[in-house]
Amino acid sequence: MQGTSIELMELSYWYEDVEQPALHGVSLTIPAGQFTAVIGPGGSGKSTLCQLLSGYLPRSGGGRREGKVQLDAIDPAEAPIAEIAKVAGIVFQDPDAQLVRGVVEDEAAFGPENLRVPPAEIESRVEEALAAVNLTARRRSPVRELSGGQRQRTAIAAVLSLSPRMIVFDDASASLDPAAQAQFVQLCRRLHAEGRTVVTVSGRFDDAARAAERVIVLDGGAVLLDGAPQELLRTSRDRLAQLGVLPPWEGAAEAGGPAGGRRGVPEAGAHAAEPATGTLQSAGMVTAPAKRPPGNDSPGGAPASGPLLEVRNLSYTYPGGQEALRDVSFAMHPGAWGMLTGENGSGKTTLTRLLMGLLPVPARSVYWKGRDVSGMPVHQLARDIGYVFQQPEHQFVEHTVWDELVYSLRIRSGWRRRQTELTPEQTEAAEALLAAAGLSGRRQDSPYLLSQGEKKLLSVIGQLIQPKALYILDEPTSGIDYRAAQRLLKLCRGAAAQGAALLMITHDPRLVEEDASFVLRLNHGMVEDYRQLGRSHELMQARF
Amino acid sequence: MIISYQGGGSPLHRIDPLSKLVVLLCIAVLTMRLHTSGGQALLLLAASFLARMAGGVSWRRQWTAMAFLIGFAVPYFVLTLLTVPGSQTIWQFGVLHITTEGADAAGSVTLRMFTVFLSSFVYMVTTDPGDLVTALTRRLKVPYRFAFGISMALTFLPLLQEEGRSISAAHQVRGAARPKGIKQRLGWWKVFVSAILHNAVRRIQQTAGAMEAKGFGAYPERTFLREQKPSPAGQITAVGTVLITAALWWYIHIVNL
Repeated sequence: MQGTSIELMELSYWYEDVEQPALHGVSLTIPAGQFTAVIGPGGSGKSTLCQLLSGYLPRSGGGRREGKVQLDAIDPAEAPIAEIAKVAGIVFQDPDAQLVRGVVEDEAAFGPENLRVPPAEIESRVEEALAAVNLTARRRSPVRELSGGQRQRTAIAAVLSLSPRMIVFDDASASLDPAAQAQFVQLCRRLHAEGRTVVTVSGRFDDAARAAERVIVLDGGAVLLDGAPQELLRTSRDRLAQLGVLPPWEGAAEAGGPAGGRRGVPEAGAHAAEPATGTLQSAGMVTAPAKRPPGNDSPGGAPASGPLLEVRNLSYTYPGGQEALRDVSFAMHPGAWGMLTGENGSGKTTLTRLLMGLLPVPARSVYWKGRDVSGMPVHQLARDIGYVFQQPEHQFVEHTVWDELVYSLRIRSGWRRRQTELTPEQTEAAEALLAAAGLSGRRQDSPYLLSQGEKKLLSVIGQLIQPKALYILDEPTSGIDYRAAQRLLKLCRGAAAQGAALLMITHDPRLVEEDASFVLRLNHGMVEDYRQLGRSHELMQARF
Repeated sequence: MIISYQGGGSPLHRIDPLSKLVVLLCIAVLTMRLHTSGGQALLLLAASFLARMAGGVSWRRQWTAMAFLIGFAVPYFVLTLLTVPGSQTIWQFGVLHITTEGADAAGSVTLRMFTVFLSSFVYMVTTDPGDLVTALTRRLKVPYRFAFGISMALTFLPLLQEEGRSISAAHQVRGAARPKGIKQRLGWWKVFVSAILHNAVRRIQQTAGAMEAKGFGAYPERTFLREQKPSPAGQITAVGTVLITAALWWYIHIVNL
């Protein structure tokens, strides 16, 4: 390794109109060619750091920066665009914010074209970049036809083709399936072996962090820990667990704390004022557990009582001719908690969007309480089904956290009335949910200014505020730290305890499997695997 | 997406963007040259037939696209109908009177609007914006920033459409129904349009930031992965269309169409 790749000295940053700095007094040096992981809980300043490295802050995004930022001896806030693009490539968490051309190949070629790379070399770079993210087969695909994970892989390819000396991945693997995540770690290792500086940023002590040479832990906008991953895991496991960057099955358990399971995890309320379960119960949001009826959720199986949701040989092809689902069948009963898994592009989101009526449902394929939902308006299904989008921003409709939370309560006669007064019970329930999500102090903030974990929590409580029979959640825990994930799962358990069914798309099966009653795995739009899990077996045994 | 490029293998898809642009301009010239409703109707029919047969755009899709225009076209038609002076009165009520000349002029300007819109629409759905940028930059020597600006403008309508769909879905999954009655509809559109514009501006800022991060605008020139060469079929079509337009120009003058 030669020279310094990243140098930060007393770096502080304030967003516009915000008194508290997002980063304060950060000083660190990353040598050229080092593989570094920056981790920290939501709101610790990770994404702000990435945007300062890219030069977006304060150059385009405004705000105030103090201190020094040097990337290979250039200051990204002042350097010419071409210089920054040659030195540093940054992949952000939201692919939609990074893709500009609309076709996979064009996205990968865009950067080198701007840097006047000869066409023959662009061709080889594009081929290499797409092969690295396993998207060669989708080279001519329009980006809008790809799944969230595939779009993220396209965004990674678009930066790889720039061939910068330093690559920063800001939670870029959050929406990838496990196989793609493993491939991502391999990619980081390969880039590192080529002599590039690699920085991964994540809310978790993930596989990339374990593969790194060095881990820097941020908290509250400052560097908390800095060292080799194995050393930090050995000496600071409790601290890491408290921050919520370690998974529940590690945490304090391996450090001599309570063994495994949820007890080894920092509970959602460990770091912020949170109402006791009793408060939530009194507000009607949570009831005591063990009232949940078990469900026979087998695909096409014959239930003892009618299912809430029944999917019969559902097939779906997009208007462009892309087949997304073929002959999918399963059923869900009250209290069932399903995990929907599968690789990126396997049809998970398409399936849930069909269940919610957000795509045209083929006739005689999806039944809600025995009634064919084909042609049923979304708002009618929304009386019984709560849907949480993969990208929380797609769900936001209001300008403040509080208005966003109570939006559904203000719907009257199918139409929202801004001035509708909430009843004291509704206000109490909303306050309790806000506290349970750790958002009490953010009620007047814009939902867009929240951290990713906070956005996800807001999108979930925005649905939980109105009790529903079924909640469908599209990757609710992706891209957020384990503390926020536990907080979110605790809210889901509260809904399940009231008898609601949940269907959760997830790439974090280990986080959810203790609660889930079945797992349905899709592969290329077909049911590849269906298994009942422990909880349903225990409940079935208890029942008989 | 109603107004966005759709890949395909139709003859219009296979013609290069500049040759197709010549055809588009010829149609626009003819709409200006024709000054009777009958002539404009014939041209609209021809454009629609061309879209169906050469572009593979279904009748239904053409209708859906043109339905966008009705809100503008109908008031414009009525206004022209009532204001263009003429000698042969067809109908009169008080100070309002409709003349043959007024009806012809109103039909002509309205049909012209539909023809220009339909031909532009067919151009957008059969032309890859990336190919258009390359063709403008490499062959017409248009500055690439300007060419990308055109490309981004072409994708702006689909972007608005996508945002609209996303916002509508967000409201619906929270239980909001389609508004009923004028008051609800006005309230809905106020919220809806402001949200779309807000989100669209946010998306444009993000896109601009992402383009800059990948070196867009760093140099006065850039390279292109794909060259955009004129296709022989396209050149023949363009020359043929220019000749036909010239002949029609002369014929229209003779028959006063």
